[in-house]
Amino acid sequence: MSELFFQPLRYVVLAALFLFLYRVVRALDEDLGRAEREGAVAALVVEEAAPGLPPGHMFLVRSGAVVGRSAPSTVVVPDPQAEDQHLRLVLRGTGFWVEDLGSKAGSFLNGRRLEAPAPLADGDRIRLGATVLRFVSPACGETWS
Amino acid sequence: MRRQLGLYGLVLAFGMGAVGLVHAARGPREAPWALTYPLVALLSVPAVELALLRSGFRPDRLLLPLTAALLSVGLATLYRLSPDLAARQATAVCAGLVAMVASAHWVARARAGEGAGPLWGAAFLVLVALPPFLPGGGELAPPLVDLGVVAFQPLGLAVVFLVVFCAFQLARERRAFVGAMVAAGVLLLLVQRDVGGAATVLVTTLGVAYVATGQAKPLAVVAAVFGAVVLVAHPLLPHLTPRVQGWLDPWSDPAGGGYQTLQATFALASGGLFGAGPGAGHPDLVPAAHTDLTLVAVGEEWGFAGILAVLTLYAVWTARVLKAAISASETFPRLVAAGVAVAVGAQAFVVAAGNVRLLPLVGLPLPFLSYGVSWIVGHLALLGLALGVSHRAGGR
Repeated sequence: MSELFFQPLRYVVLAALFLFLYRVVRALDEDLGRAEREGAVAALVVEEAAPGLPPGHMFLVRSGAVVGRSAPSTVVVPDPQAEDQHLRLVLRGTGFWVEDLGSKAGSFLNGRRLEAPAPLADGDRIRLGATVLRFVSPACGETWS
Repeated sequence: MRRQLGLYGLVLAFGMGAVGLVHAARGPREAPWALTYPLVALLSVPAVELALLRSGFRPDRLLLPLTAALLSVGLATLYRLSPDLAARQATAVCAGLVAMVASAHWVARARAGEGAGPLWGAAFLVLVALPPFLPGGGELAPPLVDLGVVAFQPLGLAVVFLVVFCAFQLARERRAFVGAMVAAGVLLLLVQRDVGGAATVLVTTLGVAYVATGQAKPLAVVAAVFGAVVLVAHPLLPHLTPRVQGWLDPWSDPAGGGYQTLQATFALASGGLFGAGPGAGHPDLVPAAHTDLTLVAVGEEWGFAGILAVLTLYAVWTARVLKAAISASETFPRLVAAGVAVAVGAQAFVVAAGNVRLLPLVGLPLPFLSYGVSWIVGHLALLGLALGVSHRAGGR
């Protein structure tokens, strides 16, 4: 009687150990993916801008890139309405997010004012001041060199 | 945090299930309270990680669950062999967790330029030289010290001091000093006829030295000299001959020198793919199953599947410690983590190979699995060093 009960149970217990190993290997795999993504690059393409920044100009950006009017920003746009450091792109989980850095004029995603950080999809339009930038995600298949 | 709890849930399901199955198989002769020791030890690992996370410590997120899995395999196997041993081991685990937290916090702040560097080397030498002056058993490979309350092999603790000492001094490029201290330690161990211990000390030092200097050739020469010394001196180490003979040709003396090897081979063979089942094998027929041949006891009752799991755990454990070493930005923590990876990884590899007869037995325990108070405390302290280094490097 007890045999009937304990025999299957030992396979269940062993399965728990192998399930643990599976979860560990998945975690290792995630770490590898994260290391790859930390090098992930997206692009911002200029759609409309003040003179000095030609439409079609492309900025390659990594996680943490700041868009603004002056030097500490990674992407500098000559726009009088933009703050020195206006908005920021960050990698969260699997995709890029856009975050306003407390600008007076505000940042707009597809025409809507950003109240909180929002996820970005390929082709989204980000506006600061009079400048409009199109977000190009690394997964969209567009190639650049 | 939730993922961490998921990992621990699986580890505890295995550990508690395995101990419980062994308990059931041992029948009514075992008092239920004997279960509390291993169960408390297993539960205290996630409790300690939780406390570390609460205090703002961000160690590698896999190392502690991996260690908990190894500890639960070990505690279940020891409980199978003798609940008394499992209770002592569980107590050692709890003491080791304290040492782990202490060493993790220490290395998270330590600087190579300050502190009493040479004292670590002195502590290592004292521990290595201690056994002949204290009561204890002499015939065991790493000498045993028996203080009545507790019997232990000082080498298990000496390895911790060795790793810190090597990392401290090699980070400051004092190579000759490290060479002299370690040579003295190796000689002291050889005089005590502990070839396995001497090899452990040497391999750990060479590992740290390789990471520190990037030069393989001089280190290979040192290893070759050690091998030559052992070969030339082996008539002076009479206990070695039957051990090597029993490894190469156990049938030449099946009741004597070959007995342990043969029993281990039969036990492994009877294990098969999934083993006889907890409590259904006869690992107690294998001499020194609780210290030297723990993997054989695992293989007999959990089969090839159990051995595969244990070896995978060691491989990932070592890889995570090496990862901490790679991501460390300063030399001292990098060398500490490298030393931990080599000390534990090499010992696991050599002892496991000895268990399945790929190498002769060296008389050392399997890290986190075998019975041994000083080794459990020492190896958990080494784990603490690795956790501290990974915290310094940004953790997780």
